[in-house]
Amino acid sequence: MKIQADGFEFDFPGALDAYVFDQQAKIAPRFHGLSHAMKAVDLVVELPTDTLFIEIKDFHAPDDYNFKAATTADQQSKRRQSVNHLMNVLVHKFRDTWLYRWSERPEGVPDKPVRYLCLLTLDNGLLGVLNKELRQTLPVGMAGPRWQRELGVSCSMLNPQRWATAFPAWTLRRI
Amino acid sequence: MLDHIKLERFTAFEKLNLSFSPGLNIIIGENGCGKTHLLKLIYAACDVSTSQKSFAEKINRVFLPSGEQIGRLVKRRKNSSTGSVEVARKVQVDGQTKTIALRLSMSNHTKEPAKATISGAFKQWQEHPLTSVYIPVKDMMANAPGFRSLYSLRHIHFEEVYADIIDRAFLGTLKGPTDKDRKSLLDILQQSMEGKVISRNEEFFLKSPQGELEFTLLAEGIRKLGLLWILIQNGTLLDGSVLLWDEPEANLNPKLMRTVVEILIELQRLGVQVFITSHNYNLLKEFDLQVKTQDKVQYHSLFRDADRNLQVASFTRYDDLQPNAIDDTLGALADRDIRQQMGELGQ
Repeated sequence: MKIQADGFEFDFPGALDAYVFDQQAKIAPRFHGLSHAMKAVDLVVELPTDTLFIEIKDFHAPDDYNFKAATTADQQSKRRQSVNHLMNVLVHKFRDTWLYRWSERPEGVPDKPVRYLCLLTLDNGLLGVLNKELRQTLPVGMAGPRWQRELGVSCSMLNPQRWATAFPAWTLRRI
Repeated sequence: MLDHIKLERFTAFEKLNLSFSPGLNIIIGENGCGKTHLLKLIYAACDVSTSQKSFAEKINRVFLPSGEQIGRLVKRRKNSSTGSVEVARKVQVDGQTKTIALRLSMSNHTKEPAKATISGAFKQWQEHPLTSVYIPVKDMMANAPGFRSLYSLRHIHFEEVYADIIDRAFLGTLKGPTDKDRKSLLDILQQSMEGKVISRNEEFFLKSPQGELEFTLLAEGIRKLGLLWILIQNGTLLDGSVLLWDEPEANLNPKLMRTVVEILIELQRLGVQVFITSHNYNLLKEFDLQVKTQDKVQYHSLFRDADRNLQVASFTRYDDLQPNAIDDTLGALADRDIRQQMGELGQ
């Protein structure tokens, strides 16, 4: 099943469904209708056993997020702010999408594990640093001491090169 | 200014041609790709311009092959073979830029450096002395007391780069006031080290408001900054000199890395030709972020081709560097992490 978003085309063979989550047109089959109140990931993909939330960020200046390699304290502070903003956006998109889907699912339909994939045009070194932070902030897994279920079972930040290596069955191309 | 190096059947190299940047040269590659060998060869060529040693003898002393048999530096083969090295540099002769070269060739049976063949413009090479300094991975400043006399009196098994770096550090201070550019570099280092370096009876100390701390009590990262401070202060690193530094990132925390990169870029701007090797993402990223368009930087990637022969590819931008052993390793780590997170999905 092919789906396009933010300048990329994905193919998920065997997927039950794949769609742009935040559809803005009122006549669209999946009109979101709550964009004024809730943030949304770019794509939702329903696999037979799992659900994928996919967020895409194609940066023009990836180094704006590289706070670890900033050359001055001022630059480091600005970059840290950019990263905090990015994290904030990624976290809220995930949580709001999760809530939206919970609310739209008819009672009795079982949960599927949710996996969050963020396709970001950052270099490999930076992906590793930010990924750890995002997992802790979402949070992924049995994070709370009283939790009995997970919001998301996994979260991975990938650039297009890592996507191609990690997911040979899910082709990705720029359009 | 060094221009290029050509190798044939030397140590790990079958054949290699590498042109240098007149400014910063950053050499990356996996372990066993010959990064340090390249630095040592360049250093040996620089050093013989100011010493009485022959090119062959110096190479033998910095590589220290078993039994000091120089022929062991020829790339190993089943049959007899010969290996060669050519290092070339640009010099000014009567207002004209001229390229002169120094060559060494030998067979794998050559036992002594004196039996190796040296050719090229050795006389002109020495008429244009080139100050150089080689900083090895392992710090030697804390081991300086007594090392020099031991090295000169006894036959101890240390590559000569270790003795040389201590000699460079003990050069006396330049006469006259410190110029503005060098002073600003010294200030940057002093701020990071929170002091300056003094020596007494072949022993180095960091002098700070808290007192004098011997180098053996300092973190290795601070010792490295201390060494740079000494080399700048005593005028070893001046316009036209060559700095060769093997893995500057060793024992440096990322904050000190920023200082080291700042200094290296600034030295390049002052006319020092710099060669470093690195395995470190943070260090390379620092260079990538700190260099400006007017800086003369080249990234050289050493890699093995399909036939396992060493090759080199050079780039002016870090992002274009290919293959990039450091980024590949980080990518492979990311792949394993994704696989752990996603199981068999997407396979």
